Amino acid sequence: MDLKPEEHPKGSFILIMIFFATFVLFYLLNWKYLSELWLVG
Amino acid sequence: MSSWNYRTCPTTGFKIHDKAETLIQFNAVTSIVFLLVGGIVGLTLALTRWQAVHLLNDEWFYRFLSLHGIAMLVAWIIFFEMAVLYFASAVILNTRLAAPWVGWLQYLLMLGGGALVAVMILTGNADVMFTSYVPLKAHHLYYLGIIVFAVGAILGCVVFFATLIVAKHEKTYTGSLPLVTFGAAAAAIIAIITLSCGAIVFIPTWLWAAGIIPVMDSEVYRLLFWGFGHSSQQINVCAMVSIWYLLGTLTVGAVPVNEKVCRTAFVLYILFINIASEHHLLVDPGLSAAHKSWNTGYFMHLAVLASMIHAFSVPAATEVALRKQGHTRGAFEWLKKAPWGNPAFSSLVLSLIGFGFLGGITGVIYGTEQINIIAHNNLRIPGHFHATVVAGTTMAFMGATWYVLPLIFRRQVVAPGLASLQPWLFGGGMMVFSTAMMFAGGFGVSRRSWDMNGVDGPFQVNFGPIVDLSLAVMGISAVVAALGGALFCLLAVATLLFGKKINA
Repeated sequence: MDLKPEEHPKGSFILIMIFFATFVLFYLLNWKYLSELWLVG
Repeated sequence: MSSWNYRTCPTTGFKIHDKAETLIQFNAVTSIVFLLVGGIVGLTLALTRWQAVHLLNDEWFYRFLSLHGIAMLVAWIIFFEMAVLYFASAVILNTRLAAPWVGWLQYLLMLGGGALVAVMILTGNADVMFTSYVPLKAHHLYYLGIIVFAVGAILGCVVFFATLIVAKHEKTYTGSLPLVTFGAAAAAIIAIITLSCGAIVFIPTWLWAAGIIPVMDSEVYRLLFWGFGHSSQQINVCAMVSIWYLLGTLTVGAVPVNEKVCRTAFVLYILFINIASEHHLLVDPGLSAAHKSWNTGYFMHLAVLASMIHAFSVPAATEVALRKQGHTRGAFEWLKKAPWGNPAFSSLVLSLIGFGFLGGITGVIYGTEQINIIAHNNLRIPGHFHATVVAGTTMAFMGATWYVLPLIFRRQVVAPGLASLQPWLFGGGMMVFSTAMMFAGGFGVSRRSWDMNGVDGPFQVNFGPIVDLSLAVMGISAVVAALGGALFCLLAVATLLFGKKINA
């Protein structure tokens, strides 16, 4: 699909980046919970 | 040579075969009846887990939990999917439905099987919950009901594929299958794999319950059961994503930016999504750590990649369509100017958020082998799947209904103002419900447990006030979501009975 510059989905790209950031934060948070319960070493 | 009766939809221009239309109507109405039953018992369960209310006694709690799982995860969703398959084949391809009598056989078998299962549960003959893990044993008619239901659903898939062949043969479309039909075909392929797993596991279990087979291997049962139990939710995922594209097109005229990528994502679902079922077995002692790790740590992520593609593709297509309408200022003018008053559009957006943000993120993380150890069998898991199946799939199916009513039942939706409110009540309620459930699970509150404190057990567990607060929020948001669900059923029934007739 050919898009004019003003038709590019910039907003969706920003929303998806927020989604990725949430994903990474929640992933790290869960590993932190796990590390507190399951001590290594 | 037989002749077939068609009408032309004045809104979409689709040529609609009368027999396909009637089957879509019957499957859709029956799905809403099961939604109503499952929703009512679901509310009583939430009000029991809310410790301050603790509505049901233990016997009815587990009985209703069994019914809730079957009515919602199997009956409501798969009946609606049958309607989607007939719509995506006969209606979208402007063709006749192949062998409508097989379609009626599908409907009657699913109805009979579903009713038999419900009766067995309500009469106390199947207090085994959705998983019915062996050696828990229900009455043999319970398993027979599930088998009959699954055979009916397989017949629905056969009719769908036969209709695709008819459309190709009669040249009712040119080029590739439309994306919505392609997605429905992916859902139907997954459905056949899933329902075959169901038949493979439930036929020997039925014979075991009837006393014909002396013993069932519980390890083999668990492995095969999840080939049915979780994969049935993957049919939902595929059907839901197809509906996302359909709603994007119907509400704002969205067209995928790159259709080939979307089609590739559906193929990834077919190849890898069933492997995701393995995450139910992550704490199962019978499987090796390497087996679990390969399936849920590596292969499963190829299906997750497919969801990521759709998660970008659907909003991007919507944004491009709205930008083409002139809403080009800044990054988000298109979002502000979107048709929020259209319940189908708000359902689409809420379904994307519920499925992607809440259900998708938590699903991938809780499905990681190491993290699963702190999440398995506590309320985090039902919190996750209520986000995917209810806030995601059910929300999308409800959104589609606002178009099914005028296009297939030819009735104008009554009280459009209330219809606009419905997705917010239901979707908002379910998102808070799922979050509160996951929060309580984070503190170790067990799932599927009437007695979470172990009052009658050998040792007691005391939770802090934060858990009481979480469970109270869960209970209140369940009431809000139930109001949204009741409003949906009420408006759908009122539209069928009193909605202004639309002439074709």
